[in-house]
Amino acid sequence: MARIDLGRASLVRTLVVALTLAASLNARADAYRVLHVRTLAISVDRTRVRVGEPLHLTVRAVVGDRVEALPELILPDLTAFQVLADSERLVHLDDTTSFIARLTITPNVPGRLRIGSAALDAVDARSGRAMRYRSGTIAIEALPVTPDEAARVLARAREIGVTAVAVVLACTAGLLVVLRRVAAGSAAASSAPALPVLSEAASPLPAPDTLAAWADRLRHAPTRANAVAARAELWARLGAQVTETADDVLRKTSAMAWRRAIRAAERAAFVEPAGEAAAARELAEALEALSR
Amino acid sequence: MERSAVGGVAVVRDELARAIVGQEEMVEGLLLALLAGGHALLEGTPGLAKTLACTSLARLIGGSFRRVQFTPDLLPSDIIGTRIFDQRSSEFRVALGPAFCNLLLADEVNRAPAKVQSALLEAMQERQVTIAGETHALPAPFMVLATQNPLDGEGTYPLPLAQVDRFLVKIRVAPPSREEELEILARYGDGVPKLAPVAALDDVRAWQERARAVHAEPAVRAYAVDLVRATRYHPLIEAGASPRASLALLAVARARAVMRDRAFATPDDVRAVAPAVLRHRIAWSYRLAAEGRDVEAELRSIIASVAPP
Repeated sequence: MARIDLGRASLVRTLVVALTLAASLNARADAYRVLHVRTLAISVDRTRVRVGEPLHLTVRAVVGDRVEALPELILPDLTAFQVLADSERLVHLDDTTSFIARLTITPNVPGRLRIGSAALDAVDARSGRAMRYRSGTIAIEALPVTPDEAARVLARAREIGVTAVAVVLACTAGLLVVLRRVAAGSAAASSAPALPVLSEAASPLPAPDTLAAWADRLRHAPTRANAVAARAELWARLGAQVTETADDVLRKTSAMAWRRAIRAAERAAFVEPAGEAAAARELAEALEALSR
Repeated sequence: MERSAVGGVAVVRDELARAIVGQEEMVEGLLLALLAGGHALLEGTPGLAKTLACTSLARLIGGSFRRVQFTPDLLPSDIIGTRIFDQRSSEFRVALGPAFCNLLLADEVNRAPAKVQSALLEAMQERQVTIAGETHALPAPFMVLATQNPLDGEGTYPLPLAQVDRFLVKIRVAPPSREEELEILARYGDGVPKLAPVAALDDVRAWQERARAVHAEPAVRAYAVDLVRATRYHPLIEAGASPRASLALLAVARARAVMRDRAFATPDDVRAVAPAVLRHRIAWSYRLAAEGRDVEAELRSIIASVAPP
């Protein structure tokens, strides 16, 4: 019977892993293609869901090249979500290629969650420099399970005799909260793969992290969906609580520019369909005024 | 000439404020019920201008007004009408009851027996009455303002929850503040001010039509449903609000949007009207009183706990 020298075996294992990683890193670095990156964006169909409810995340990358695959695309960090389904498709139009990934995700825990940026590593065809393109991020408000749903779950648990289901779920949710905090703490290190240093260029799209960018997005696409997302961003910046309405937020805000933006956001989110575009543009103006 | 909804309603509100000191919640509630095409239940101690508010509102919209004092010996025919024998023509003819008006004030509705209450509630629901096989439509608009005296429990027939549910809103009429009471003495020293119509029934019908057409986003509708459902799973509630409450909540929220010159309802509209729409549709547990909790505070806490869109 062979006796295993654990110390030596461990050292050998570490060396093998390191060499493999280094090789793969080199391979990946050499694999960066020269691409004309036109668009890199992420969007969701709704920004306010309950825990367990699905929402659809769309990642869209458009390059000015005819490619059959886009392995350089890095999907957003979805640590706080569970991926229920995903699909990908590639669309060619003239010399451009659109890569669209659609994921059905659901939040695991309640609270204000963030869908991280999608990233695309490539050598920019114009400058010849290795670049990391990033999309914007999206804030999702995950509401707690309603008493109705909680009652239904408990009733079901009693029916099948699994009375400990609620306890297990609570522990899992607590564990996920801890894991999310750990993941968020190491996000800066883990979001970027261990690659040779690339110069991070700004995404060709305005980053929706700024009010000016939101205004720009609304001007280009004055839709209710964008208005609702901008409203959520505005509420987040104002520190609004989950249970607060626009009137509550207005009561806490005295600055005229912010009050104008709050009213415009409320209107744009709930206006009748005929006024959707005009209200979205009005919100864009209000956000633009705030960003100055 | 049809007035714009907000201008016309604001004028009616301003004129009501001339007649009634304070009581903003009651005035707002009456106008919301009128615009939403529903009926209102007013609860308050005697002498708080409930009757004055009803008569003033009827005068301001140019509508007909009737008042019925509900007593234990009242009969259904005293409300809806009956057939009487005309000796001159030797024929039976229908004599329409006081329900055939635009605003009917049913004073102390909890004093009449169940049969009379049912007749009234059926008229409220169907907007028509049947007398001796003949169906007679009630006028439009038709609004019942029912009052309940919360003090005298002796000799009353409390409306069951299923019937109270038919009232769109329940308005609590609170006593005036010291300043308001001084204002009452100053204003009514020479008698109640005479009010002239400032709107027509056609205007009211147009406002009601506009309220029905107010846009409500799916998120706003979902919020209304969530609010109502939150009353069904509270540990201090025996029976929560029914789906009729969801319809009522949306209708009154739409009316509030019209009063604020909007063609769309917002979550604030729903939340603002929720107490008036829900307070009479909930059967609270005995534990509420046993623990010394306030019903109104508990209701507002439930409403505040539901996250709006």
